[in-house]
Amino acid sequence: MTEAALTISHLSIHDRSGAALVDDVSLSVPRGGVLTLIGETGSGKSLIAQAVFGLLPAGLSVSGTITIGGHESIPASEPKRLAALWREQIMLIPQEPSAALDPTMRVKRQMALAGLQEEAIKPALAAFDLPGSTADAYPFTLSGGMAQRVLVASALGVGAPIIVADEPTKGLDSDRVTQAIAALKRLSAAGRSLLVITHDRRLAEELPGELAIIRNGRVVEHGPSAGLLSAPQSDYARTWLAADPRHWPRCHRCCDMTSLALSAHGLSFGWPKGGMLFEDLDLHLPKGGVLAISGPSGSGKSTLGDILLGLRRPMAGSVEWGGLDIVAMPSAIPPLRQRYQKLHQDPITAFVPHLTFARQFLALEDVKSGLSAARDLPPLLERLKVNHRLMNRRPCEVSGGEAQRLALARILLLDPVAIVADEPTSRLDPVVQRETMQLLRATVDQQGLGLVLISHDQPLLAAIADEHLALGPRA
Amino acid sequence: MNTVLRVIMLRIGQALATAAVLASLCFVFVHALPGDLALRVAAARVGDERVTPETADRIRREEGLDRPLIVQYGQWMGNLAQGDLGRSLLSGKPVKQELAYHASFTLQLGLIGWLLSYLIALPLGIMAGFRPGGVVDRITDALAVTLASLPSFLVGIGLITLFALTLRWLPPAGFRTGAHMVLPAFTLALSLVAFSIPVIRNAVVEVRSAFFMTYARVKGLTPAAAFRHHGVRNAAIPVVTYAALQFAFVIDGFVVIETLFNYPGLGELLVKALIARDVPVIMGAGLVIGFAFAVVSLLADLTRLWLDPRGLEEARA
Repeated sequence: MTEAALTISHLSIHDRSGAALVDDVSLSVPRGGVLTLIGETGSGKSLIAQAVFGLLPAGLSVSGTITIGGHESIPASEPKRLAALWREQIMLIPQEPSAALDPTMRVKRQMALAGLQEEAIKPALAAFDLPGSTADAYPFTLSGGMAQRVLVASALGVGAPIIVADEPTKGLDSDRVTQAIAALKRLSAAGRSLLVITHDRRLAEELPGELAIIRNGRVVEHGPSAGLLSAPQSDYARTWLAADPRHWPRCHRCCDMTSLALSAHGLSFGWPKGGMLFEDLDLHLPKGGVLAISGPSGSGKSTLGDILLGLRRPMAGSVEWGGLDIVAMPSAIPPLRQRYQKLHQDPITAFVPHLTFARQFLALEDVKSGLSAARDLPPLLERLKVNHRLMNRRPCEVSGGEAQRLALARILLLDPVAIVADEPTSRLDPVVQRETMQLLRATVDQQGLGLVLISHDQPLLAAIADEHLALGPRA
Repeated sequence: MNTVLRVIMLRIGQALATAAVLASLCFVFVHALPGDLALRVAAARVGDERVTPETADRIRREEGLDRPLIVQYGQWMGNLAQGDLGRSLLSGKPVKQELAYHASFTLQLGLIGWLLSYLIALPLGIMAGFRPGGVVDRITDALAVTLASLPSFLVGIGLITLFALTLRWLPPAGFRTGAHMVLPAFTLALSLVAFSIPVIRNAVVEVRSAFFMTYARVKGLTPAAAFRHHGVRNAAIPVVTYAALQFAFVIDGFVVIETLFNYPGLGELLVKALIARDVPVIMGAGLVIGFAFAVVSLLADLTRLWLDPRGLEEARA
């Protein structure tokens, strides 16, 4: 093997209770090569990336060493020494775009602070299909996918020879995934060494180099990417590869159109300077039905979801909750609010950061009468495959996938009529994605609730939705 | 910008209306107090021992206090519409003149005390926020708790004892020279600092734990540069709101400190006016303080809007 750009040796990470989250992992990225880590939610793959940067959350203990470039080995327990190599040697493309950008600073200045020359900013954005006006935008006006591309574009402007990309395609639609893959390949071709963490099977398939499958904090299988994907050795790798939504059986269900959970007529919405996102839109969500909303990044999918939940007013049109028009009569919203819920794209930010989950679930008892967290929660957590030990953690101490399942549990406790799920599984690996989707579908069928599923993942939508609404590209 | 301008005009209109309502409430409450109003005015004018029912009746007639309340109130509102706040029942001077005289003292001392408090609180709060649980954090926390639990007159008396009586560096009371301002300004500042240090410290801690701060450092910024570029603005958002609240709290006078240092501010004027049932002064003060409160909170909102562009979208909606 050629000389390694990045070597992780005997990395172990333990939580406060002593449970191993990452167990004796040794991996290396060859100079100019690519190593892709795949694995299920909570498998510890993002922790490995955090350990490389010395950015592990407080409370975790770590052992093992990290060797970067020609530098001497640094114990993973000395984050300050690792921090000295940031930017010059090693650069991160982080997982949560909304958290990584300063909400009060224009994109342009943030990119300039990352070291990009003034004139290089617009070309860098254009390379990811972002209009020049993005440079002057504030992060909160960008969609999740656009923010992700801004981060990739600015990270690529930094000259570090090693780039760690933590879920670089998360929240991107299929075209953008192609672009992101192309950008990563371009970097690799330019001689940069890449460590890519993903649960996106396509990304894993298209990137050259090596692949490692992580499960329960251990390397299950490791080898050249092409060989591993075509002939997986372990059972787990086979299960993982079979969990692609493209291989699911299609689900058809006859819906009772006379009892609608939610409907909307003549909806129009646009941003003050951005033109119209959609006009004169009609939609119907029957009880027990799944309505898919798809469209490219920035086409207004999330905005439409917010309008359906009464969180944002449309420019024109009506939204009916069980026959009550909440646009004309906003006073109808508060008594029904509990029963029309949203499953967020960024599940971690949907929880109060410094309280344990147990306390946050307990607080629901004040909101809904007759609810007992002690009685109702355990069976639900079991169904959702959430480890009850997570209840004593705080939101920053669980993975994105675990947080999403906890968020779903919180909503289901409120006995909803309709749920708007905004990219609910874009942060989950395929196995957990399928389980979560099957669970959502089963809940829809059993409880007769309506589900609006917002996603750019066409195969996923085709596999699960009864009806499909596609929003057009941005004018 | 148009949206902002419209919001400002609307808010000023609201401020004026609120101030008028506040003044009217003052009128109602003063008249609802038990006792003969004219008698109290007379007592304040000539002294408690020399007051007779005749003096009270004369004042009642002269000042028109025997007219029905609704007429008195109507006249006050009518005069107000022409910008006339009336005359003090006690001194006979125009209310406007009385208010302007005392308000200038309160504003002067209030502004100095308030600025001084942030000169003290900002560096301490930021240092504490940089190392939560560190030495500075623990010391400032103890200091803030102590100051918050001490009544301001005790802090004032402590300062007078030390600097005026023992060291003889500064005059203990009065208002003629700059040196007179030092002790009351410090007393005021310390009572504000007790509450602003924790607010600043928490804002800094929260911003520093935000992921964009960590990421700024991964991008190559030093911790100091990351805080300068990304931290200050984000941390300033809650602090500005709190600082404005404190300033609004200061402008309606700080009775205890003004009394302690024999300083002729609004607080002192109001206490005198209340004891003497000086209705026009009380109503005028209600009007001015209410309006000033609203203007300060408007300025705070505008600053917040400037710091945090997310608010602009909310203002449009």
